[in-house]
Amino acid sequence: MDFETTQKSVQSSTQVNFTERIVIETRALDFYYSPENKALKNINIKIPEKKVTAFIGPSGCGKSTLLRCFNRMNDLIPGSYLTGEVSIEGKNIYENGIRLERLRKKVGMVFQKSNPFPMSVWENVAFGPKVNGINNNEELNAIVEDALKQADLWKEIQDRLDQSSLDLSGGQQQRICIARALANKPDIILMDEPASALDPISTGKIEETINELKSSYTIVIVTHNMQQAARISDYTAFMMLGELIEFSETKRMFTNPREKLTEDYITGRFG
Amino acid sequence: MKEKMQRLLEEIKRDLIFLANEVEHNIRMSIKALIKQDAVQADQIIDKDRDIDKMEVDIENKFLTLLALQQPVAIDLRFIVGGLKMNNDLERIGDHAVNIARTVKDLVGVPLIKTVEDLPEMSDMACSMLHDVVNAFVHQDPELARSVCQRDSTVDKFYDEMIKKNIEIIRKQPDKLEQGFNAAKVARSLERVADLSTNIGEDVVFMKEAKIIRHGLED
Repeated sequence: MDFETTQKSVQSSTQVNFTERIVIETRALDFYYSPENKALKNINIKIPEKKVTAFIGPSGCGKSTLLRCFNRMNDLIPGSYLTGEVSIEGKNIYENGIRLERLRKKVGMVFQKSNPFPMSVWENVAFGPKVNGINNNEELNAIVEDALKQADLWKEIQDRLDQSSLDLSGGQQQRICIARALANKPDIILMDEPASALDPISTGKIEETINELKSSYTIVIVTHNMQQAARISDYTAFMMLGELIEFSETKRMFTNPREKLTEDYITGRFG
Repeated sequence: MKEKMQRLLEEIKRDLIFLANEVEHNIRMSIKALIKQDAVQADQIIDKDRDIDKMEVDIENKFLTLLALQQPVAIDLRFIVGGLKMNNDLERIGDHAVNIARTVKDLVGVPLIKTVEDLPEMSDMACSMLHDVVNAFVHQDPELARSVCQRDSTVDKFYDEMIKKNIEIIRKQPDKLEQGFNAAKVARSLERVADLSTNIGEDVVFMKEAKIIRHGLED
């Protein structure tokens, strides 16, 4: 099949000469939901520090699966397993002895559907730091304020910190979730379609927030919205049928992709 | 949604080809009018340019609508950027046909300087560049586009030679100054037609290969 033939020629299309430090790296990563269901095939990708990297591709291409490999969220799926290596800051996170709570503190995650706890705004954002042993209220107040400011929510909500998070709008709830992830002071934030359920104004705020956060955090985002990937990311990875087809600077990807498959997908000629 | 964009792009492509044919026809007619010193034909060329201007505006509006509503990327985006420039270049070629037609009207009843005899050949060279570059656009053929760009220097050389001959004649016969000046104006318009056809060739290469070859950047 043409697609398989093309695969042999795309190795060079996934290599980027970074000037930035690499914080996430996979080598020969294969992921299986079951022995018969291989969702990722030989993924080799390097993700640079303090940049936004977007994963795009048709439904079922493996982009969310790959994202969830970066903080071992897939471990929760019975029967799933992987081969190869996923390194964060040079350390293989699938080695024995890795403490998952430490990993997930370092690698925060925001999901497609906002999922604030049924608690007040303050309790939501302070939840992680409290679990991690911070009990001093003054310190927690400072963390909550800082996280809400970074999530661009402080001005809107500073007088309503006691209000239930569930009473907020969808966009505000999603930014609460971002603030909750930031409160743990992660180095990396994974976002799985964080704006797909939001209206354009809320989406715009999330995108602005992402743009501001990238000076301090490494962000990896899965999005179905190609224009969103083009607007907010520095690098874009295009995946199809579990394979990484092309990984380039975003401006290159959307003006002159190397691979015909990428071009056909982003111009809507298939998919 | 994307099928709609492809349909709209095809429609604009057809419009550009139609515009290019109209423009080429007007340039060829303007040189015929010059040789025949035909003021009526010159007026027809000037009238026709109003349609050409309107076509250019319509095409630009279609491109703007596409950009605003369809958010094209990659090859589609390059087609639009290149196509917008091509549209503008074609309209300017149309303006050169008008410049020549106006010169024709100034020259009615005036004996022509000998160098005017060179202008049909120069017009053929410039118009064939335009014709071929439109073919390169139709078939999205960057090699043909490059070969058209290379022909520009031949037209430049022809232009320089003609100007030299013109100066020589005027030196010997100063009463031919006005005719010589008008012939030089026409030659200059034809030389610009070749330049603008070269620009279109560079745009075709950009559309197809995403390479910028103008300003000698490909060398």
